[in-house]
Amino acid sequence: MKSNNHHIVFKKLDTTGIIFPSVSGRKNTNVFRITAVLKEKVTPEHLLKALEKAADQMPSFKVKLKRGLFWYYFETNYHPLFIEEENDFPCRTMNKYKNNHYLFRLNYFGNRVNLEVFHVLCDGNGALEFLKNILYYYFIEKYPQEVTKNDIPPHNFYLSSETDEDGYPLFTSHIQNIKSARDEKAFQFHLIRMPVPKLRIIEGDFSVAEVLKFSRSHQTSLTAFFASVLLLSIYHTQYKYHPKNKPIVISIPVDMRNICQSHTVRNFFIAINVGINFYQKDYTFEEIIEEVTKQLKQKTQKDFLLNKAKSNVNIQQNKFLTFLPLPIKKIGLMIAYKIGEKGFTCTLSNMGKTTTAESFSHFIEGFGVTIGSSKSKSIKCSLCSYNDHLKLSFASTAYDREVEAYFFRFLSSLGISVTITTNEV
Amino acid sequence: MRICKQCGISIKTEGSSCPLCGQDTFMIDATAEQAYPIVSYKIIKDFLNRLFAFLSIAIGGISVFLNFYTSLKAPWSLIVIASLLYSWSLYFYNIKRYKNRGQSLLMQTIGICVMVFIIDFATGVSKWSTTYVLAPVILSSNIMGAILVLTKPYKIYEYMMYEIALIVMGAIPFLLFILKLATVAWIGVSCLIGSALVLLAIFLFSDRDAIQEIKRRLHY
Repeated sequence: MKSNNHHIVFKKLDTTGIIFPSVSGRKNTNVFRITAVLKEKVTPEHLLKALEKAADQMPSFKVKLKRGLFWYYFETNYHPLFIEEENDFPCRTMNKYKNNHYLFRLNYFGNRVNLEVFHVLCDGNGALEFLKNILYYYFIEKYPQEVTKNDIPPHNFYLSSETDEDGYPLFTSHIQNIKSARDEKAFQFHLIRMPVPKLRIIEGDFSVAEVLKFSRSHQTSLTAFFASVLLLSIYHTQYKYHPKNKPIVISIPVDMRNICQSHTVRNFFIAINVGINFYQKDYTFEEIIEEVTKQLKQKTQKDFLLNKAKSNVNIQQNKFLTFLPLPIKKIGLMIAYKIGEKGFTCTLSNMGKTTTAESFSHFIEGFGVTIGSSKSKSIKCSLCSYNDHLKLSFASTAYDREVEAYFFRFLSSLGISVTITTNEV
Repeated sequence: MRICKQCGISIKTEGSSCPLCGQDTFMIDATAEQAYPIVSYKIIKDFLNRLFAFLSIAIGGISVFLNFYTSLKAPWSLIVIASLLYSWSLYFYNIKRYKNRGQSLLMQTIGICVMVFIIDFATGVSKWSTTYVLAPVILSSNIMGAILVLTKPYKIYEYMMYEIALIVMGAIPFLLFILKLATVAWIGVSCLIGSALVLLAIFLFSDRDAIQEIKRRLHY
């Protein structure tokens, strides 16, 4: 518990992080989950020790969220860390009283270790870094002879400002202010939602080589390939029955770390929208792939992404907005978030290829990622790969599962072998 | 492991039907993985909330109807509605969602002030609420808040901002006098001086950490 002897470190939220506390709640949790599937059952006592060591290693995760007069902010959290066996629906809202004020929770089930993180703290890649450190300490605890010590970055690395920087203002300071174009309204799902906090997960396992073969034959990337299949699925299961002169738009977060050579473990991504309006024309799958690939290529250019980041930074640094009291700012942020959500139909997040240190990689079967529910976006899709295992996960709050069914059936019809795991909701 | 011939997929999870189409599946080997726990879902029905909401709407609605039906010269139904609103703030901030004594104290003070102001308005605007009630209520809350802050220094971080809000509220009775919404000056001035003294006491008796806490809370 807090005592006066504890040194409190204060930290501002990053440019993307500021929006999440204002717009999150039970129906829109903004919590995502990174799962590590191990080759054997998890031992809780080792996992707790590993968590404590990893949190000491990465102090930017050992924080609580506090409310100031103008902005939310982080403060060092001295409450005890804990783990628990998974016993509830995934990606529930982060209740600070039940969670010792932490903005993440670590649970386990069978051979799975699940790290659930409130997006205010970091993005998927930041959380993945934390989970990898937890796993490193876990295997050091469990198999001290087999795991090579110092196989992760040293403690000082995570104390440096390089890993704790807010990349948005840092890498956009040289960019001239431009007015960003507002996205046109996108087609929205017509689905009946299950009661909160029910969340259905349907996870598909693929062979990376097998899927790559198909994407390469269409001269496209994995992200563009899956985005095209998702567009086709939404078109056949939703759009056809509720046609509107609006495009089906997939929002794809792009990790900015590689583009800007940043090592931050906080939020540093830009969401880009790729979409097709099926109202004007019936597209074949090949045409969809071609269009999505073209749009992705154009929108992942460094200049395009930095311009988009700059417009976010401008909003945060606006002097008038800065001095508005937080309750008023929250109303503005909620409106802006809702307007932004109308600009896309569904999210597809590709965390890319995950790697771990060689000394403990043979204990791990794979990684998975799940994005929590949202009030207006009933279905969210995410994927990541590890060695030859690719996990693609649909998280849905809707009773209907037609989109997911079409998606997996279509991949199966292409000759790709699909293995499904679900939480049976 | 099972397969669904209709969807052309394999299923790792235990069970007999396909998670995509609901059709029966065929077992190909006995291995099965339970990747997620089975969670039983319970709909939480808060009976007390619903009862309180029903009674509030019923009493408030009947009062307004009777007030309109009999005579509008004395808007007594406003007193009923003010009392109901105060009961709700009492219920939510002190009973139902009790979290922080500082927050409860602030919400109680605001609740009482609003309630007496509405009662004053409903009984002919003789300014008794703004002159004789607001100042003592705010000043006593200020003193209670200061006691809370100074007697529980380890919780100073939780109470500090609410106490500061109460101190700022201490200027309201005097401002009301300037705006001619209150009739006696010395009561408002006393509240203002009292609040200033509370602020001084907090600054003198609290440690450097408290000042740092205020700085953090006011960062921009």
